[in-house]
Amino acid sequence: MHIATKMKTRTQQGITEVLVLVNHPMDTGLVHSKVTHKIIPAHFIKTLTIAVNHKPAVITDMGIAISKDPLIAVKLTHAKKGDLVTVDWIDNEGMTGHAQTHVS
Amino acid sequence: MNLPRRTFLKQAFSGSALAVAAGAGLLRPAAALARTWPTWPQAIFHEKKMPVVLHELFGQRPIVQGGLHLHAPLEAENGAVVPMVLDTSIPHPEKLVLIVDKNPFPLVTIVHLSPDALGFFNVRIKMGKTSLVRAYVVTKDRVHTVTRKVKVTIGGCGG
Repeated sequence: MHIATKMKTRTQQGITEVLVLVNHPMDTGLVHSKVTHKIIPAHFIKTLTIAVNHKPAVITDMGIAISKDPLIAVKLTHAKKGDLVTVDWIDNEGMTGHAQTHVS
Repeated sequence: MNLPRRTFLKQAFSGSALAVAAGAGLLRPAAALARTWPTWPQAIFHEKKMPVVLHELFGQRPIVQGGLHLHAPLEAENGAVVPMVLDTSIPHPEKLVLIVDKNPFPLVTIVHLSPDALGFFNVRIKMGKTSLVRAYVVTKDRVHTVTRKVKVTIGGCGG
């Protein structure tokens, strides 16, 4: 299963907003499938890291209560035009995802 | 005739295995960076009692009201997707925390901020039923909090 990770940045008055979208199911492990009548096992992102020039700026620890296809936004100061912004995540099954962009 | 072909296939396979290993290796530096902060705190995320969660997170730090904004809808038609925006101008925020009292597991997320990050976090969360939502900003010596009640018409945590 491939999970897409997308990211974009937006700079206004020296503040860079970073938007991250991951197409992740974020299954809670509490839901019964109507088809198989079994519990859908938990599958969710545990940790998502946003880094600027490989230095972590924001690390989020997530529980099962983050919505499907997480969309998050954070704001950074001191990010300059051309800086490398990366996002990396790891879920409870050990799957990882990565995306990167440059501050425009 | 068969043997070289087999050897070739074998080599091709081990080659691709190497490529996969290299790919995994490339991802590793970023994963290692994440460990400059503590690992995913399983015990707190699995805790069902709100007071215990608060105690584990904040310990003896004094909790004061106000100092941050939590933008949340008064009423959410769909508990599976409830937008939340945390915003604070308190200097040097270290962590932002979101808690939903009546979710099966109250702790939603902990956001660790470096000095280069502003006290801002935008996320969409799941809510099982109508509940209080608590947002916290943790600084070096105290915790600021604000509470909003969000009415949920259709829950998002169970079948």
